[in-house]
Amino acid sequence: MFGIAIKNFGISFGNMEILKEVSFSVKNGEIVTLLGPSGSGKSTILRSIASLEHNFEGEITLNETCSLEKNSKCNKDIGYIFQDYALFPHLDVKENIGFALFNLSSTEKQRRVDELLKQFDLIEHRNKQIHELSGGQQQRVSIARTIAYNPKILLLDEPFSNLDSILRDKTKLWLKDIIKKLGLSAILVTHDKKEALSISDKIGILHNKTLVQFGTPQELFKNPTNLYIAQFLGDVNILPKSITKQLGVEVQEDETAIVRVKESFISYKKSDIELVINQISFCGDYYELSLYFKEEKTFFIKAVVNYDFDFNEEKSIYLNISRENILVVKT
Amino acid sequence: MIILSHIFLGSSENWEHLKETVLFDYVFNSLYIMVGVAFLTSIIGFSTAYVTTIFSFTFSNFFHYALILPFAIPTYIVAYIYGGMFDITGTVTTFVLNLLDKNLSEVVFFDIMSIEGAIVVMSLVLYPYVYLISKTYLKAESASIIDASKTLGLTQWQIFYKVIIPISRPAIVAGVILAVMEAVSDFGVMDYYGVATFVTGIFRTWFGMGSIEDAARLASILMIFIFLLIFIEKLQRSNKKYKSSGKDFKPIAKIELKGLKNVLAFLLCFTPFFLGFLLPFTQMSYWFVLSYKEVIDEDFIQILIQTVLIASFSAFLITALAFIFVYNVRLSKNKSSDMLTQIVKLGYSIPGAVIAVGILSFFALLDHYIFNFFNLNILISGSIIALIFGYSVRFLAISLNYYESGFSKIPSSYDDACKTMNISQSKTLRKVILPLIKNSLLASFIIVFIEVIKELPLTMVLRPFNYDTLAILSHEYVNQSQIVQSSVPAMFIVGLGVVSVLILARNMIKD
Repeated sequence: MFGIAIKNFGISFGNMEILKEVSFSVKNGEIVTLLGPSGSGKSTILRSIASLEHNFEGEITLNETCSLEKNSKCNKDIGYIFQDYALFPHLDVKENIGFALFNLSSTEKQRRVDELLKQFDLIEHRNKQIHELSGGQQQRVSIARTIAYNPKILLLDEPFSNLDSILRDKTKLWLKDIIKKLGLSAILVTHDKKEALSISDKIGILHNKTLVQFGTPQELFKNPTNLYIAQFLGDVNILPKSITKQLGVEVQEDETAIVRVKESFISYKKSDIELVINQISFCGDYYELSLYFKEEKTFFIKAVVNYDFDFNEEKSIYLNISRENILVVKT
Repeated sequence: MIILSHIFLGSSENWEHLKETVLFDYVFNSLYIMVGVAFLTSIIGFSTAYVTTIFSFTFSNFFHYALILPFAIPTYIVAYIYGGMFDITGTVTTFVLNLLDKNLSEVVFFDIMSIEGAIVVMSLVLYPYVYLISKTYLKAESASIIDASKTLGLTQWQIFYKVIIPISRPAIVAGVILAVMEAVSDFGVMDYYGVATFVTGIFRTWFGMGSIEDAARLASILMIFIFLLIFIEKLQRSNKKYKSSGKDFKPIAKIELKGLKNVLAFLLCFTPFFLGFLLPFTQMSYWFVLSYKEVIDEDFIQILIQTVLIASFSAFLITALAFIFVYNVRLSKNKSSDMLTQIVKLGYSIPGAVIAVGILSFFALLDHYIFNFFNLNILISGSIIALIFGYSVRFLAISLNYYESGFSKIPSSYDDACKTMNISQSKTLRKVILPLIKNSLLASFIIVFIEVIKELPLTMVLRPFNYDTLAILSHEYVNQSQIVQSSVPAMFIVGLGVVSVLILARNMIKD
């Protein structure tokens, strides 16, 4: 059963077209991430689903039957987590959490707020003002406030962008767990590929005003439909046509052969592709190298070797890649 | 628009007479005042801002606030007091002449009741515009620039004239333009000192020659002057290239001054504080003590109540109107609503006298054509409605500015969050917006309240017959050469202003 279905969605602001012909769906209990650079229209899709934008084309259907176009009230099952959390500074933690529970009696409201304070580990902060909380605690209050009225759909707009990297990793897993436990359909918007790959059941990539690929993280990673997606999802090296020919890989005019950096092995073991080291950067556990092809001096690639790699300026260095790791994608 | 339309009117006999006799004086004097006030306020305002921001010296923390105090006394009241002290029969002049045992003809005498006197008095009261804007700018921008200049080997003096003055130019100009706009719009000072400017000319043409059309024509020329200043200010702001991000903010490590430098810095700040506030305030207090028993009677209490009532009602109405304007712009995100707000904001830059002429012309048209046509026995001109309408046109901008600044601190995600939680518009307003905007609301009310109490020319023209306010009473005493008695209503104006500001400050600190 679908929580959200979007069909031929398009939106323009004035004369500027932001998105066109975007279609995808989110099943119940599924987390879908919309990934794309800033300004690609990711948040606009979320805002349209939440009825914060109205001038869109196409169809947005919630819970199989409720069409946003026809029924403005069908967004009552939606919870929205804002990038800046949108917590009200004049209210304390418990008042923020209970803010939307206006339909409950005061006893029921109190019980629900207590339950959420406990669930989100916020009991000791219940009477604090928002500015007294850390970024992570503020985010937990924001999620608790949204979960409080039992939405079936959760929309998350760059929810981890204000957290430091350690807290971000921790919160990501915790949030995934909450969404799965409650069986919500969630759409998350981010420009962080690592975040998208680790939390999502499916990823949609927005580029050139449309959804260019939609699928599981593994599908997208293994079979990117074009060079943009391949580069967006991971570090890749582009192989020059002379090398692909040498390796017997057929590449059409509008195609590019790529290999992931992690699958671009370099060693002193002789192969058909000789490289020259351009720059070495020490990164702690490993070295990151910038190299160019001896035969194609304008083509640079990136490679990673262990911190104990034995560099020897006297010897020639070679690229070792297996043919099955070479991907041919549309340019 | 009504005022501006008069510039295209055909010539009249009165207008020809004005052109031949006084129009040149109006233009020359207005320009002279603009240049003089610009020169003095920029020197006083910027030097005190620089010294109190960069250096630490005796009473420097006190001067930080004390230098703003001249704002508390309306310019016309300072002018009356200075006139009473320094004109040919003034208290100080008489005292000095007695002390020296000389006649006026035997000494060098600076006549305060002159255009130069008006420039000095206006500058002493209006320099805080430059002081405040320059200080805010220097505090935010100068720390890292000063550090960088020091590492480049510049001396403190070189840093001042090679770096600080050039980077502060936009702030100085912004402050100076505000001061100049206020000076050129003034009626009270110029009328009392007998200086012929556009504003006094508007009154003379109207009341003396009985020609509202020609008064409006003068007002239209003044408006062009003002719009030119606004245009220069906007141009200046758009050309402001020296801007750093807030992230670079670094507090200034103040340099401690000792010895002669400490004394000089103290004197530099004490002089404008003394002349702009302490001296007139002390003299006013002395005169108040001398005359309050004579002045405060039932009629005075009636005028006091009247003033407070009209100021409260106007402040309430303007605050409510401005809230509707700004909240509507926020909700609708509509460019035309925003443009309307920006046009309404121009009202504050238009002199009270010009607004008064415009409103009277407008209501006269309304009374004559609309109400007469429908046989309605209503006369708005010269009624409380016209007066409150005038205050609204003039002071709505203040209120709008407070709200805009307040609303800019409330992210639109708060409204969006309420929408996604299915909270109604009215509940969002009650539970989220009003609690967060309440400081701006209070600030708007209090500032408009003070401005209405202080306003002189607009009240003089638009008030109903026999309807007096404290400002009018003070002006009338001065016109009857009863300077000492004028200090009583003046003291109440200043007192109400100070009390209101204290309430505002206490509330802001508490929050």
